[in-house]
Amino acid sequence: MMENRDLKDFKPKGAVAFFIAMILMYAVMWFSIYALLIISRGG
Amino acid sequence: MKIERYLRNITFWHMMIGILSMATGVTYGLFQVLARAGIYDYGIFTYGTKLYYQGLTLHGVLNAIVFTTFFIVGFLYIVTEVSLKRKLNRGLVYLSFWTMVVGTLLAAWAIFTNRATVLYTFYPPLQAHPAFYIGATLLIVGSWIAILNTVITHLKWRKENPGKLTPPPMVAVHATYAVWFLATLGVAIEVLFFLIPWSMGWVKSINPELARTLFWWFGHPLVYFWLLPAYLAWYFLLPRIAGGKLYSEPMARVVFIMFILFSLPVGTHHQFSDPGISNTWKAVQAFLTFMVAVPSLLTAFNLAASLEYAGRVRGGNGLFGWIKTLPWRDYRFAGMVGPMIVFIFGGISGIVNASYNVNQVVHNTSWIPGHFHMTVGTASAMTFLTLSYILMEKLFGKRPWSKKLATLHAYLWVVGVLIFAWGMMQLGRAGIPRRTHLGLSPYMNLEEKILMGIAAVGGVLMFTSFLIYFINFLVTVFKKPDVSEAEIEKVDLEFTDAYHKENENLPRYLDNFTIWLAIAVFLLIVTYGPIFYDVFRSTYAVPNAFSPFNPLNLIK
Repeated sequence: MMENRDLKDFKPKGAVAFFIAMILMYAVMWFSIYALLIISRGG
Repeated sequence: MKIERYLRNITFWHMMIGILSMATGVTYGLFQVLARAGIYDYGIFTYGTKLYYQGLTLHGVLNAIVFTTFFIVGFLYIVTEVSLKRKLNRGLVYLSFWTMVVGTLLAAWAIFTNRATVLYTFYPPLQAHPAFYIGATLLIVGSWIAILNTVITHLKWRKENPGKLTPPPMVAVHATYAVWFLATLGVAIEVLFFLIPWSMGWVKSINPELARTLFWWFGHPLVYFWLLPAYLAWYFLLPRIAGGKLYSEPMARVVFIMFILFSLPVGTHHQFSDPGISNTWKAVQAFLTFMVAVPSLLTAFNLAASLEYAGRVRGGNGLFGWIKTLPWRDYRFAGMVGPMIVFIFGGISGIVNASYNVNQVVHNTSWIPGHFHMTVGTASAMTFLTLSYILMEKLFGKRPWSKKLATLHAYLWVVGVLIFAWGMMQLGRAGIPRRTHLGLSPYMNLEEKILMGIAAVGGVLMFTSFLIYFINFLVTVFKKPDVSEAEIEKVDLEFTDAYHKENENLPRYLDNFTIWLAIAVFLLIVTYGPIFYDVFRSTYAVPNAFSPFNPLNLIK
């Protein structure tokens, strides 16, 4: 097990960016299925 | 914390029964995926096509119910003793274990002898032998005894530690068991009051819609029973393995409390296409299913921040430069972060399932098994297999026989399940049904056959990965300990430290489980009350019972 050392004033900027990217990907995937629904209904 | 030998041994047997069940279930999983692709025909065995549905029942019940329940109960015993530093009641541990074992043997006998080919959901009018229903009941009752033992131990700890906050891993244990207990009430009512009397022949009629509603009261919250112990490991073990700290401990507590509240009133999203339930209440449960996605989204952020912390401690910099410094070759890290990555895709496919309108595109199609192999089949199952290595080391001083094979197993599974799920979900988008022996159907077009083949490639990789795990685990079990007995006895799961720690200023209502349980029960009553009113008003019992192998009604 690695010895932990502390980081001071840690701001999770990478995690925020990851989270935003994940939500955008979720939106793309959800809307692609929604588009299938619309197409199947002749929209 | 010294863990008594009996508890270490019985935890091992919980693990072992679970893993042996999974080994059988996974083998049938391989048969399923090859049979659907038309590569392998069950007909070469004596049962012919009967075995497809029998195999599917075995695959679902052994993997999703037996493996998970045994593993979770055993793992949570250790978490309870280690985090509370207090002994569980030994008699209740044994009583719970043997009740679960007898229940499993009864149900397994019924399935293996083809007397309970009712699939994992065991919906009526498919009828099983009473032994299946009685066995399932005993398995659940056994787990309730484990819950009772845990609650008693925690109450004693509270008495001895007035004013102290419940340790965060213990909050996860309570959330897991709260969800399981309240969820299993639904299926207990279904089995005890409807299925057992009907399968014994005491009553001839059964209301399938009422039984389905009771099943899904249990069936979806069951997902969180599988998932929360994996979250426990991701929150409280993984950050330290990565070389860092949990980013926010209070956020973890809030997440587990949210699961107690929102895991339960969601089952009706499995019944969007069912008659007899009003659109209003289906929409309400659809909304609440979105609510239960919130704690998972909070988890995604909290864990990403924890891993970022670890990556920066290890020298990573830049917006994403910390990712490459993480210990990707460590089997424990690979075996938890791999499932987390897959779970990102499992999560969005679940949100599609939960969306009232979009669900119509994928309802009852191959999309669904694609989805849940990324959630329970990877996020939970893979994490549990990784935990089995960790528990062997912590409880018996036996490090994995081959750490390289353990790491390979993790990545191979991730690749396999992503290929499998992609194939299955594309088939689902094309409207191909689930739970159907499609290998025998003459109407599959070329594109669909190719997708079936892709799913089969993924399935073969998953099976190979499990085989690597199974051999590695068995050799680990039989090898000599790597440390002395004195060291083995002092079990330390090495729970992580936190960057934002909980302190004594934390509002006390966040440590009062009675409040959250009461609200969860209130939400259950408010959301399910009108649904049962609808079901009773518009559906009725019918004198029907069927088996998958006979078109005639079994009720004379």
